[in-house]
Parts: sequence; C-alpha cells; structure tokens
Amino acid sequence: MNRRHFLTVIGTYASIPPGLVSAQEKRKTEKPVELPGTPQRRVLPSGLRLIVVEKPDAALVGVSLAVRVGGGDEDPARSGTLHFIEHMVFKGSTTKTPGAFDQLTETLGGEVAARTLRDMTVFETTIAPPNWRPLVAALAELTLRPAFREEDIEAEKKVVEAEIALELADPLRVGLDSTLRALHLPGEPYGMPLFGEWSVVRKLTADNLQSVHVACYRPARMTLCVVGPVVTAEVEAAAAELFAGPRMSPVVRPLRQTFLVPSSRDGLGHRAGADTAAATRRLTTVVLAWSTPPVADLNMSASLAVLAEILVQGDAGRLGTALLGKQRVGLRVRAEWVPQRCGGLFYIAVTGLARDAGRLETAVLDELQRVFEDGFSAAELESGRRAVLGKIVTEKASVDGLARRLTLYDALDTPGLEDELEKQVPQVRGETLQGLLRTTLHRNLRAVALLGPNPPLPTEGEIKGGQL
Amino acid sequence: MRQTAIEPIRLPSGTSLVIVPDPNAPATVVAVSVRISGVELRRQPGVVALLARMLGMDSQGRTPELLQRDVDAFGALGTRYDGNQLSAWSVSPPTEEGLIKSTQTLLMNSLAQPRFTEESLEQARTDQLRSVALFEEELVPKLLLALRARALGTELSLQGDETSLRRASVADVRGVYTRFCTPERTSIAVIGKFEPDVARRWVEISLRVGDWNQRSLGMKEKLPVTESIPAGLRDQVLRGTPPGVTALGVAYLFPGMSNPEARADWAALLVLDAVLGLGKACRLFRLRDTESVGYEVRSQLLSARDSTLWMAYVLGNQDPAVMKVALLNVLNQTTRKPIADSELLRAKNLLLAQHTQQRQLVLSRARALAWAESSGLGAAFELELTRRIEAVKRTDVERVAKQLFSGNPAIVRTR
Repeated sequence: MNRRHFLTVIGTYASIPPGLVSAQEKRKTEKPVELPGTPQRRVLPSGLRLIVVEKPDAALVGVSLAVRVGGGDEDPARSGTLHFIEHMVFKGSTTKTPGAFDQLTETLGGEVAARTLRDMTVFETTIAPPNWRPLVAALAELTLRPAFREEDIEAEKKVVEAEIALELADPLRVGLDSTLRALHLPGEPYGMPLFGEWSVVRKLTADNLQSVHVACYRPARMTLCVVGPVVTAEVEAAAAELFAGPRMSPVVRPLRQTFLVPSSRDGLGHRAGADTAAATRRLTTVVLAWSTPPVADLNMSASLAVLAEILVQGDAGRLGTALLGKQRVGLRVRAEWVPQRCGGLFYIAVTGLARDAGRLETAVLDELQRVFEDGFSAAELESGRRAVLGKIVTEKASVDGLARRLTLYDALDTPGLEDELEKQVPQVRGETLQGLLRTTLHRNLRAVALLGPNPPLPTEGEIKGGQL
Repeated sequence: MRQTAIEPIRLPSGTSLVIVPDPNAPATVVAVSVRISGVELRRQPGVVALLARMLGMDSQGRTPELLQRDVDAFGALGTRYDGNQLSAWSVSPPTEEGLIKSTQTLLMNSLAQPRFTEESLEQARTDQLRSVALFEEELVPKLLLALRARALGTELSLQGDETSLRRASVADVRGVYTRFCTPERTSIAVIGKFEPDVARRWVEISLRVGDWNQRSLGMKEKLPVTESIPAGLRDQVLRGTPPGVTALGVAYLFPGMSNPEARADWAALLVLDAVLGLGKACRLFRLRDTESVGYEVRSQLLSARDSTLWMAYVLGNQDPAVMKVALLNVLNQTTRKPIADSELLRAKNLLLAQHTQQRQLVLSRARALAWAESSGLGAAFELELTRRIEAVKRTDVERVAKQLFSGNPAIVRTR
C-alpha cells in the first residue's frame, strides 16, 4: 500500500475543544470535572486496577484485561509457562468445556485475542454495548478458574509447538529474540525466548501450570480496561463482583535491574546465534537492537519513539531514503522502540536481497553515523513528532485501540504514562536524539542478528564509518 | 457511528458518487475505487500496480513538488491495487477547506489529469520491484495467490514480476489508464462533516478538468468467467517454505459479482464463511481442539467481478496430508451436517461486530463504501449490512454451502 504522510495531521484536530479545557481550569478549586472520554481509574478491594473510559457515542465496547506478569518475569526453568497458560485459558474452566468460552463470547459478538509479552499477558476484544457484562464475566471465570485438564494440556502442546515453528520462520521475530538473547547475560529473563524453550514447555504438567497460575492470575495482578458507551459505576460494580477476592493492594513489581552483556570494544557489537532456517530463506534480514532504559524514563521514551519515526517513516525517513533510495541495498527498513518495564528495546531491521547481506549492517551503521554528524533539521523533527502523534491519535480513535493503549501502560506499572508521553513528544529536541546516538544507541552496544542465506557476518575491517 | 447516507448518485459522466455526512467525523475522507480486474490485463501483469503507484506522483496541473506540498498541507493521500480494484484516498481535516484541498488534489490533480513520466515510472518500478521481492517471504499471501492461480487455471501475476515490470513503458501505463480509468468504472465515496450539496459540488468541480467528463466508455468489461475447477486436479506444491513449517490451502469457486444471483447471495456467503472460518469457535478453528491440527486455521472470501473464491488454509508444523484430510472432512460435512441455530447466531453476531469494529475509522468506512459500489454489490449493501445479515436464514446458508462445495477444490500445500 502506498501511503503518503498517512494520518500525520489528525493530531491537530482531535484534541479537546479549548472551551472545555478552560471551563475545567476555572473549577480547579472545586470538585474536578471528569470530562467524557477521560480515563477513570479505580483500585477495587481485591486489588484489581480498573480503568473505564465513557464514550457515549461509540458503537462498541473495547475490553482489555492484562495480567501484569509476562515472559520477562519467568526464570529459565519455567520459561514459556505463562505463554502456555495464556493458551490454556481458552480451553475452558471447571464449568466450561474447550470451545465453550469462544462459543459464548463470539455469540455475544466478541472474539477474544490473547498475547503474551515480556511484562504482561493480555486478553482483549470488542463487544456490542449491551454485552460487555457477560463478556467480562466470562473473562473473569476463564482467567481466574481455568481447568488445566491433562488431555487438553497434551493437545495444546501440539498447537504451541506449531506456533513456535511459525515464529522461527519469521525473520523479524527470530531476529528480535536472538538479539535480546545476545544483549542479556545468560539466565536474564528478558533474554529468554518469549514463548519459552520447547524443551521446557513440552514437559509442563497440570501441577506446573496450576502453581504458576495461582501465583500470577489473581485480581491484585490484573488490570481491566473498559472503553465505550458504559457507565463507570456500573463497570466498577460488575468488576468488584466478578473479580472478587481477599482484600489486597495491587501487586507492584519492583523495578529490577536487567543484566546486560558489557559493551563490545571491537566494534562488532554482540553477535547473535546462527539462523536455523537460513538455508530456505530467499531474502536476508539484519536486525540491530539496543537495550534502552525502562519505559518510565519519560524523556528517553518519547525521544526513542520520535527517533524511530525519523529514521523510517514509511520509506521516506533517513534510513529509508538512504538505504532503499540512494544506495539501493535494501527492500524494507523498519525501526521501532519497544517499551518495557525494566528496560526496553530499540531495533532497526533491514531486509534485502541475499547478495547484499554483507552490506546491510554496514549501511545502517554508516547512515546512523551520518545522522549523528548532520543532526536533525527542524522539518525532520516536526515530521517525526507529527508521525508519533498521528499514530497515537489513530490508536485512540477506536475503542479497542484506546483500551489497548491504556492497559499497556498500566500493566507496565506506569499508569498514566501514555498521556505524559503524548505531551512529551512535542518537546523532543534534536540534541537529545544526537545524545541518544552517542550513548544508548552506540554501535558498540548493539546486538546483531543476520537471518537468511547469508555469507559470514562482516568483520571489523569491513564495517566502515567512524565511531559514534 | 452516526451517519446519514444519501443514495448513490450517478453523475452525468457515469461516475458513481456516495456522500455520507457524519457530524462526528474527526476527518474528511474521499475514497475512489476504479474497477480493473486482473483477468482483463493478464497480458500486461503489473502495469496496474505501476499505475497505482504513479497516481499522485505527478500531474498535468502541478509539479511533483507542488503536489507533495498540497498533500502535506491537508493530510494524507494513498493508492493501492488489489488485483480487482485500483483504489485511491485522501484524508483531511473536517473543514470545508480540507474537503476542497483534498478533492482537488485527489480527484482533479491525481485521478482526472495525471502525468506519466519516465521519472515517475522509474520510481514506481523500483518500489514495485521491492514489493514483489518482499512478497517471497510472506507465506500466507503466497499460498493464497497460488490457490487463486490454481483455481482459475491461470498463472495470473497481479503485481507483476521482474521481467514484466522492467518491460512496462510509460505508454503501457498511460494506455491502461486511458482504457480503464473511465467514469463508468469509477466510484467515489466521501465521508465527513459537511453539507451533502457542498461535497457534491466540490467533487463535480474537481472532475470538470481535462477530459474526464467527456471520456468515452473506455474498455468494455470482458470477464472470462471460470465456471468450475476441473475434477482430479493434482495438489500443487508450494516451494521455498521455511523448515519445520507446513501449510495447506483449499479453494472453491463461486460466481463473481457481475452475476446478479451471486450478489443476492453475498450476505448468505458471508454468514457461511463466518460459520466455517471466522473466530475461534468456527468449525475450522475447532480442528485445533479436536485434532490438534495447525496453529492458524482460517478462511478468506475473495470476491471479484469474474468469480469469487472461498479459500481456507491451515498453517502449522504437521504433515500436510493430515491437514488435508482434516480440512476436507470439515468441508464435506458442511453439506451433510445441518447448521445449528447456535452456530448461525454466533456467526451473524461475530460478523456484525467485526464489521462495526473494522469501520470505526472514517478511512475504512469510505474505502469500504467505494469498494462496494464499484464491485457491483452496491453501497446500500455496506450501509444496510446489519439488516441484510439478520435476514439470512439457515436455509440460505445451506443452499449456498451446497452450491459452493458441490464443485471441486483446488489444493496447494507445502512439501
């Protein structure tokens, strides 16, 4: 699809009308006015964190439930357990057989999707407005009381094995997993494959799953977000009943230190392991990844989001123009900042023809060096900021997008940060981005994975360009 | 989603126009759909894809730089070719000024009077070659394209290949534009916060340039209809798939959108597709629970003017022979095992909810309207989908299932 400047300007006319803002400011000394569309945050007696956004005009209700624990909280001996539990949730509860949950929710008009991330496990859907309560009830039952029947566990292992096989076929997923592994010291949870080691997963038993489930799947570790034509008090009452439990405060995970491999001094960065599917790939993908500070670092997070846009922006960013346009060494360039609780990830992935395998990494590093030396023009910065804000506004325009966004930052233990980030983006300065290239995204701190029918990785002598 | 649709208007030139005023729209979207079936251009593979990339790059009224500046000033412009329709759209602020600028840039300067130059062709060719090369890594699109070619009995290359793209000239692109981008093949949908008369006036003013309104009928639509898939067709093996990954897809033919009966059955076909392949409680996805087959199990309806393809596929790591038996068993049972009320209810509710979910953004609503109008289904179908789906009876679904699965399947699989 060809998109030129897609939705980059929407941000300028989607904000709250000025009249409403000033009315709110006038009442600062009175009871705060809660505007429609403002997230209402509550902590329920069981410790469940609840976020409700009333959108009276919406045609649907977006529901997102996050369990604030993910692959990055697992120790190596249990890697993949949380992902497996995410699968087993769909296999029914003590009162529901496999498939009954899907039949129920889909009859209500909602297909529940689930994903396991490093910091959380998320279940989400949209639903017709009258049906939000039975849907939340079904989600509560399934997540709090899954059955873990032995026959279902064995059957689901085959599904998970197939999922892992498909993951290994995706060069970007393999590249990210292997660069994360290369960046982190052995045993560091953020360095483990997201879906775990198959050798561990294949031995999982009902007892294993049960013990992890009891520890992790409880209201005090959950965030529920409901967005749509709903009434906060009604959602709160329903959530209190459905996610009832002993009176507790929400579990807040301490910000642990992630253990990184020390920076390389030979200019080669941290080289990731071999690509198991190399022989059958027709194209080459090189993934360069850097560990970044925890998401709570507001200025850093906003800067990384803007930098990713400046580098790529469709194909019109700095890297796209240089690699795809001028040098013609790549077919596609992607860059993204992945927010994580204890340390995020910034990656650049370039896919090219196999014959260019040896040039892709060098081309990226050279261009980053040029970006660092040239600095950032005002237009470029503005364009990057607008692109980030445009994406945010687009995400917030749908009930599911907004629910996803609010849940993500709450489950990263940074509730409200999404709002702060949005305000911070216009403040991002070129000097900050240059500082990032000099420090956090220094070439010696990168991890590199080369996926494809590739020749050996380039050696130090072949990696041109000065030190950043 | 508050919207008041007005009846599609047939402008004197033959262009079809659907205007949907929406007082709550956060943006104005103009979406254009031009009917160009891949089978009409099977001897010039990839030329429409190049045309799609070149629209909006250069214009007889504006230089490329001015055109780009226009787009920057109002918002966004995009184009795409999907093998059946060439689509283009603009997104602008919900003001009259936004509406004027976007209609002028999209309709006047891009659609009605584009300029095709060697420079813009070279840029389009480079972009298209990149896109074609990247396609090699996409297993599902590759599988579905192979299925389509197998079912239609032709090696249809919709996006072109290296040879055809390098061979294409400016004259080829201009020729395709002249023959196919004609008013009677074009549908326009406009959604936003405006008075309908104002929107119509600006569309008409924008199309008054060049020869758009006087353009002849262009190429008459000639659709080689594939009636059936031959019996005993051998499975096609898809090569170049990653180790450890297997896939299998089946395709069945249904009449295309140029057939009035097929259009009348479209709602029932959508419900049948949902019974079989939409969501996790559908018959096909249940294979994961009952037989541990596959990870991704889905179906897809691909409608075209010449023929509609219903396709289902399994991705995973099991033996494709096992996938084949499991998939065909489910499909064979469809004509024998009655559809339960609970299945029908689930399929309809999920279908409608997903439709609503996918139409939350103004852009997707406008593009869907233009597509529906251009395909022959009619914008009214899109706007009245709820009523049409609710009206579908079990007997309708069973009748359509019988028609669809009485034919032979085309099968493509990995080794």
